[in-house]
Amino acid sequence: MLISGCHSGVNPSPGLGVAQSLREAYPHARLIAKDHSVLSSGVHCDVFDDVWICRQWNELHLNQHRRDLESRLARGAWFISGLDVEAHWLSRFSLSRALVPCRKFLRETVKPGFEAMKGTSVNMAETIDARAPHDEIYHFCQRHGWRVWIKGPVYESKAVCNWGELGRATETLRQSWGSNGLFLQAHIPGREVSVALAAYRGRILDAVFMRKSVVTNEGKTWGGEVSDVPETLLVELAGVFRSLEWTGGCELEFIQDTSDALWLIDWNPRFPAWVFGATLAGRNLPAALIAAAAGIDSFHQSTACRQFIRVVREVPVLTRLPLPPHPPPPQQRFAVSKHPSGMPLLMRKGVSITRAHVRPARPASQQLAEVAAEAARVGSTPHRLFLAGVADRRFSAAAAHAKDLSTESCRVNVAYSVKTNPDPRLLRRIVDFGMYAEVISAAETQRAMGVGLQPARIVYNGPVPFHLELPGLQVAAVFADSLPALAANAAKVPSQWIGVRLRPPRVQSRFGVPLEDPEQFQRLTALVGSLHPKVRLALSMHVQSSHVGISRWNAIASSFIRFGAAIQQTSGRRVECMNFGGGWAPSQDHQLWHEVLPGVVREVSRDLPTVNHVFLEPGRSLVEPTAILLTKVLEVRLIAGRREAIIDASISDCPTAEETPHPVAIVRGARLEVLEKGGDVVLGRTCMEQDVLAVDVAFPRDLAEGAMLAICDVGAYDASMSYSFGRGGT
Amino acid sequence: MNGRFTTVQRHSSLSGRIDRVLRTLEDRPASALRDHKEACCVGAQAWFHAMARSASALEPGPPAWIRERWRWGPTNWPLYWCDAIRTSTLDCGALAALACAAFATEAGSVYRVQLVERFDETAVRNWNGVWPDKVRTLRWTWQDLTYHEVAAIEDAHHLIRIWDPTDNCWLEEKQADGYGSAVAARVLVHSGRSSPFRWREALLPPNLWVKIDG
Repeated sequence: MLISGCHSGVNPSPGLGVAQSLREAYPHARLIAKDHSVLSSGVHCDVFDDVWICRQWNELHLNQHRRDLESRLARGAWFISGLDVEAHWLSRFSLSRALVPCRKFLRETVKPGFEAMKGTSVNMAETIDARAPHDEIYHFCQRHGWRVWIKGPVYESKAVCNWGELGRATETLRQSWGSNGLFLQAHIPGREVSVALAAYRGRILDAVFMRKSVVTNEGKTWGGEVSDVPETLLVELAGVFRSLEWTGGCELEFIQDTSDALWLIDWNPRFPAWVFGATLAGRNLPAALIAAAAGIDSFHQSTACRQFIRVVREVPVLTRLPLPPHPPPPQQRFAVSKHPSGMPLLMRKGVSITRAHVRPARPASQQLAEVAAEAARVGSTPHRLFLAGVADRRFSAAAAHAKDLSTESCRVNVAYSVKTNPDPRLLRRIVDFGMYAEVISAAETQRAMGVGLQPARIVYNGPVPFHLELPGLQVAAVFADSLPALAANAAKVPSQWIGVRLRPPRVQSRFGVPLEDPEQFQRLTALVGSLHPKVRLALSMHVQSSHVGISRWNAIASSFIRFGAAIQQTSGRRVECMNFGGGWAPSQDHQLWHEVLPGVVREVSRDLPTVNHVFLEPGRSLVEPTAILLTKVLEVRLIAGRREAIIDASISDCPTAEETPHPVAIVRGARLEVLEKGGDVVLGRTCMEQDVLAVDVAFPRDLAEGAMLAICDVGAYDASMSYSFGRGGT
Repeated sequence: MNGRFTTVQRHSSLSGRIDRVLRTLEDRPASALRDHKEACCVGAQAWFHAMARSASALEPGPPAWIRERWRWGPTNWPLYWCDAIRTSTLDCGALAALACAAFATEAGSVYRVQLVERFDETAVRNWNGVWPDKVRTLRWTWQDLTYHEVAAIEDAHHLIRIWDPTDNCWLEEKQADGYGSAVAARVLVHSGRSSPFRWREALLPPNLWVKIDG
């Protein structure tokens, strides 16, 4: 029997486990390890009678390799592949003694769609193609609270929690697998479980359910417990595998969530690396497969033990297959550390296993079309162009949404976060649309009042105690960042609401009174209970939803409201005002105003019916799309197939370039065309390595020096936090 | 003497020891936190309940946050709420009391459960060393057997799931036999309930010790 995928390192392939299982069942069988490197550690194990070391996949002549394999099979050998990509390659040919699925049906099992499982009770985690437009990917990640994985088409996955990390992880995976087939998958919290099975011509011979007990840092199984597959699932799988006419091993990887529902996250067309653990439990799947294929009635089974765990042991290297000297040459280093059996190399030879398709390009957005003419008239660049129409629409929409959320007993108001961008043109819109301004300093307060905003429309919510910043000024609400500041504000500040910022549990922040500390909680409730009866109490929270995701923000808001109720009950003091700051992104608009905030307001009304005023503090979500950065291309160069455009702007003009995606458009006369996704990059004019304004864009073929580009969505912190650098001090 | 006879003797020896421990534990109630009925304990309970409700909003499911916050170790009894939330170490009884209080902030029936668990004499000797003589607590170790407290929640079909706040896992997911397994259980009920609880394949009548086979 020929067995491939024999590496048994920290990220093992199943070959060694398959061999151990077959040896257990057929002590006198001749087992031959097939692999593509002497560094595949399992080939040196004495469970094998012989080793067939092939050249690395990128060197192999695939047709010759197939003929070599066919001649071995013709001599009576059976072949069990332990490599996903090899199984896909072999499925193209009708090799009767190669126990792999048929190609026609194998395509129904590829990630991320797992078409074959549609219609069963198994859930599928939501996914998005990594080649989708940046803003769609960003929105996907936000929607899932930045609990997402970037995954390769065969295996390898990385958890990412912000945009910069996603970019780096994507690039790492591209180096292994290329651009095709990468996708993002929403994280499903729960326990990792697997089903492993052997099937022959559509009939499941045996199947086991494995719950991981011990996992490595890479998430690989190190110990587990084997049991029967739940009956209902087994019945469904029998139907699926019958329709696939499956032959070979298979592993289905699931997450079992807290309600015991199963979420399919991976489908491997081979036995799992822990297959010998199942054999130890009395369920020898490889032996069952060989028995069915070869027409053998029975085989030896070991005594059952449901739980297994891995050990590390040294084995002597086969004399005729010595290890290369250390340090290994570059191509071997790559193979040793990641894929000794070289699957990415086989994929690069054109063995395709993906079904994903490229999304069509999007037309330029309406907002850009409106300003194209204005952009074309701009003289010197870089130039931040304010989009008045966009600003009007966004402020108007936010005011309308707040009004819709208001009830007879509870008024909801928007308090624009001035620090986001204190541009007077934006601040005037606070006045125009009847909003409040949220400020953190005397300077911001004066700026807001400078455009005509009354003090009664100002909410102070900064870490510097208000009585130190603006003594005597009567504003709408003052939130303290500490208990001493709360006491001082209550004594000295004549504002409508006196409040305190709270730090909810599980929130990492330097701001707010930490509620996880029982001492702080008790001091807070004692202080609140002792405030003058005329003080109208307010509570505030601020968590960046663009960092934690909107779902997590929503959970934190619930947590904050519940603590508010506890403070009210314990202190005996009515809470009359609640303030929610979110760091919301424009891409979250719909979810925010139609799902999350209505839920928050309902929860406030239910748990704190004494609250008659709610402030919402949008910043980015209001103003990010209200400006674009116009910049000229200074140079276009071609390096290793990728075009790089150097522009006259830099990261100093767009300091959040790495944190959030900024669509890039080209100005063509009176038209703006958003660039599609591609392999080109936009580089800034400074000497800093991180001065990269955009990646993965597709320049038009005729992009040349002098062309004007527009970097969009720079109306928020890109404006307020831009700085002068590399311009000689100007 | 052959191995089989020794094995039979071992079983009856263990069974006998379990019976003796259960007789000792017959009148032992579950650990309960006390209340000073003053601001200190009122505030402590208010904070704990707020934390429990907050945790259930952030991470729905069993109160795993309790064990993340408190280490397991010796605890002086009687234990008051105000002391419990300030200390960094709690024993299984205190952890179980907190777990029950956390479960109770959400809807559903919650019960205290007492267990006898089996380890080995080396482990028990170690714990006897860790628990200093001056700690005010009831005896909880006998040779290779230990007394343990956990919490249970019941669903609409009288099926209970037992949460072990010391090991931070459901008992159903732990080993059914061998080192660290439960060999006896008692579900404590203060109402007049007489119907048994269903747990795994066993029926647990209220307030009665039941020996568990592995």
